[in-house]
Amino acid sequence: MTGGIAISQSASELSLALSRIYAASLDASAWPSAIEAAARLVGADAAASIFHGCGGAIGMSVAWDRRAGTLELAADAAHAIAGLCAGMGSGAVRRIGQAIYLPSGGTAPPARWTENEAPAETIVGRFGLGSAGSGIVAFLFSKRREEDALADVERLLPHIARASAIGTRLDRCREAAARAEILLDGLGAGIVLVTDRLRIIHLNRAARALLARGDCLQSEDGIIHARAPRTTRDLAEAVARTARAPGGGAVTIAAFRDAASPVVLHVVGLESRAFAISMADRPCAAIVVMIPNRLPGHVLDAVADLYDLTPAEAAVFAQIANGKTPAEVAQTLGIAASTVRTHLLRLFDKTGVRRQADLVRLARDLSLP
Amino acid sequence: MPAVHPDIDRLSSTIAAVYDSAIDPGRWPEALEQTAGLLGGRTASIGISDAVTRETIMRTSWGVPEPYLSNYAEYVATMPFYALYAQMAVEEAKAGSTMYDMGEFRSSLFYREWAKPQGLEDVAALCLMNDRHRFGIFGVNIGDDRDLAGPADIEVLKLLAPHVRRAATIGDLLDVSALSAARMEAALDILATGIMLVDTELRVLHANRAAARLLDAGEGLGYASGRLSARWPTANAAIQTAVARAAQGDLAIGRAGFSLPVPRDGQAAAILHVLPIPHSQPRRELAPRAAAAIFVASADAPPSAPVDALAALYDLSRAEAMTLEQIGAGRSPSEAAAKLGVSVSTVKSHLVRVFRKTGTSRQPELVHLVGSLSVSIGAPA
Repeated sequence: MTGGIAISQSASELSLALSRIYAASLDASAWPSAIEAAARLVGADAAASIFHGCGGAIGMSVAWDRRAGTLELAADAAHAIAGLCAGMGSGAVRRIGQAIYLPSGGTAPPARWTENEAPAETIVGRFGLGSAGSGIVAFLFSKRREEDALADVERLLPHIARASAIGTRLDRCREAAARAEILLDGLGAGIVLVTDRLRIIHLNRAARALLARGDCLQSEDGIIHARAPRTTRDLAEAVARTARAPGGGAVTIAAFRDAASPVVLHVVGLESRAFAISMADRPCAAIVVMIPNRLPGHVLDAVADLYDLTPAEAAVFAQIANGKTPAEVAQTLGIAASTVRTHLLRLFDKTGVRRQADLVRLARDLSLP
Repeated sequence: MPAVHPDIDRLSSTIAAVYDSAIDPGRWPEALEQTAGLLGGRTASIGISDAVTRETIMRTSWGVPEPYLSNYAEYVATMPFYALYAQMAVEEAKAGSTMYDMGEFRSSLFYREWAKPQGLEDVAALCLMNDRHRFGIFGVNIGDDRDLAGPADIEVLKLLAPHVRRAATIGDLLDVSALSAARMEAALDILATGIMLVDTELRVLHANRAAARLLDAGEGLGYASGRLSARWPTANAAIQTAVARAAQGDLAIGRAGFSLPVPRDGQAAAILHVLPIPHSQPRRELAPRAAAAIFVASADAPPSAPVDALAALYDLSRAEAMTLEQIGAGRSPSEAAAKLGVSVSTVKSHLVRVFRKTGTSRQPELVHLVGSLSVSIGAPA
């Protein structure tokens, strides 16, 4: 003999319906099909469901009718359920995970549900979604015994709640990742996240452009390497070392794109959080790629604003900030060297620094990595 | 639908336990226990391994006593028919006894020293994943107190198959996205620049460590009713406008964004950079509320000058590299001399060589070079 359950028709029906319900946790657009599967499983004529977010706002509503199929007017479902709940009075579903039975006549189901020939009875269940909020699902019956229908609905309620909670959890994780990714993409510096074995985990926008050019860093089979073998060795050593000792500061590595263009790679270990299971939870490091660049205009404009510079002073400042000499500034701007000197003195006065080098430093500090 | 059958409740609760494990992997033993109960098995386990190296990625069991739990890996390596499992298709369920000759199995070391002492005779196995990266098996071990795994057991396992598989997928997705979020957030945390993501109402959706410190200190910027708020007049309107224009993708400001000065009494100057989020951002739709990125760059964050890297780049001597560090930080030769404890003439002679080797000719050029290759790394937490 075997010790297990005997498979019945209803066991496979339950499994199939639950598959449709949990499929919605991975893809929210599958909720109409999930509610339909739930309604068919419990033998209901119609069903409607609303999900409330944590602020009480309606996150989603779905309705289904045996004859009409999925109802497109989702607002109908919300109204229908709101009406049902209001009509329930003191008998309303208060407890999370509870379903209650409303005999026909006790409340007024929405008109479009009662176009059926038989008088309809309703079962309404309320479920919790943890920190994600709560939800209500209502099933309309015309041909089922109260206790059977109630038992079936109460069996399904926790599954619907769980599927919704899983979906919310996934959305939150993905959203956190998307937010961090957007911020990394805002940086001008190339950021490459790698495992301690140089496997690329993530590239920000600047790093993608850098690797596409391939004149300094390249990738092969998902592994990052520098164009020069020696730089690759240095990088591998720095990554392996910093990844295992996060918080220990940066290791900097020099590289050239070509004879005249230096690049500096700053390698920093990333702190990791503990995960129960993970396929690739290895120590990681960030490689911050810095390439000499001109300061962007909007940064210079903001500095001019900050120190209340005149347009002429701002123009001189922009040149000086990019490392130009007063003579070069005079030539570029087509003004006398003595005028440049006058502006410089005003710049020193307004910014409170004493040397050109300080102005360069100031502009650099106030710009973005 | 027929009247309630108790078995339906067991199946329902087993499936519930399986999905609970997707969210909390610590609950897998509970799901395994229920599955074993459903089939009438003695123990159960899930094993996921690297398809190439065969290294175990995850293994969790219910009912397996020590030392069998610990020495499983050692024994399974000797299991003569292990390769047959690797030929299973995803969601395929089979009894071990139908895959290989039981006589041969019973003479194996694995059976004699691992299975038999636990009273195990057979396994009902379900293939969870089998691709070029990973191979996963969900197995219910059948004890010697009953028949070998039969068609009824396989049917029950098949009923659970899509659920266990989906739960594993959900667990993976949660792990992968939580892990990738954590890593990217950690990368933002290493920078000394304050970095924030805000919605159109200036609610802070994410703040890196430097930004969180800045907001907590509340000197120039802070929170007011959960929103980003500047502590100086007219700034809030300016930030609001910048964010609104960034959110609209205002063409006039382009990709470069806005910069607003942050006056701070008695402190180093700071600038608030408001950047629009490019619409081409691949994951843009996953963060629907994100309106703009705000960066706070301050002149008091000490950038770590990449002295060693610069020395390597330009073949500088130790003394030359130290001179470059001082001059690059904006100091004069006499200040640098005092800092380094050498004479001004020594600094000047080093500086001449530094100019020659780096292809520069003036101090501001060096400051520019060092500045553009430096990045401010935040202090560790």
